[in-house]
Amino acid sequence: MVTITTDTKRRQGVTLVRATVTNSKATTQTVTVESQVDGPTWLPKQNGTVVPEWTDETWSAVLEPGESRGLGFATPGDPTDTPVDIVSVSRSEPAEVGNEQIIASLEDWSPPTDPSTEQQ
Amino acid sequence: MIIAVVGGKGGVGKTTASLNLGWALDAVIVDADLGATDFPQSQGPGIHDVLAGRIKSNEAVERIGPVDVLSANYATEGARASDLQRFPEAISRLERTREAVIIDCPAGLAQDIGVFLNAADFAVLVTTPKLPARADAARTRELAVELGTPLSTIVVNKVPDETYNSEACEQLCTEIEAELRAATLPIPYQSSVATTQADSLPIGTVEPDSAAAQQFETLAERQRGIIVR
Repeated sequence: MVTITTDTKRRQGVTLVRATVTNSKATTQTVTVESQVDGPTWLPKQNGTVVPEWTDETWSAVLEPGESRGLGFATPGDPTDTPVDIVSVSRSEPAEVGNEQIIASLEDWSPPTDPSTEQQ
Repeated sequence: MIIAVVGGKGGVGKTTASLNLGWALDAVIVDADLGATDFPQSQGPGIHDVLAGRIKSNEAVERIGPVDVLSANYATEGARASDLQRFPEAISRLERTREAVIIDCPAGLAQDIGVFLNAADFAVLVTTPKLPARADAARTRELAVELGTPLSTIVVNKVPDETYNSEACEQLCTEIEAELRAATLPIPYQSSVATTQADSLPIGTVEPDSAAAQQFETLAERQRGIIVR
């Protein structure tokens, strides 16, 4: 199953929420978790942009079998027993690889050099 | 139908198979070996001009000997402007007016092979009995399978006479069928195949009764029976 453990810290009027999501299933799972705190969610940023797993108040990621992922956010709202919770878990289907991707993964090809240019 | 003639290794006889199969099927042969063609070259525009967007593929087809060829005359200026993205359109333009289009592919496993295999309805895989050629053929087969292009026939080319005329030939073909998982067709080594090819002549036009000519005719016959969706 997919489990979540959480803890919170309140500091200078801000609640810091940390969570660890673990997939103990034998298959890859797509997991979505959501803030349960009453108040706005301040999303973590990396290099000036919001961490890609986050959209609005939900965090979504693909977890391989046995994989654990950590996440965190801040909020001015008060801490609760369950500050963040799993809202959906679904088995990830392997991504369809298109022929264009297969071709792109092959060794680069470049057109032959121009004989007229070479002679110059 | 669009048939890619592929092999993996150089020198196994892809161009020989393309020329002989193309002639038997009255196909237009596309010389897709853009860098190192060993196909007879025309003086006019060729595939590089088509891939550079300078001319339409059907307008660049030329009669060379008894076959119609879109040649890789890379001595033309501006070969560097060739863009593989134009290839599928160029091929389908030829297919609209011709029953069969043969793509004579280069050796190797670079992106060009991927594009050519992807444009084909199915592929004819050419190898020789030698192990390095079979190993390269296996890699090419894998790519074809990944791209969803089925293999119609494995041509086992240049089979030595003593093998071709004995039980060893059947054993060899069974082995290769197990490795490459498609029906095989052995073609005996015949020096006249290469000498006539130098004059753009399929062996069937010079020595129609020879074993090689008859096997190439069988190869063509097998492809004719394939229904393309």
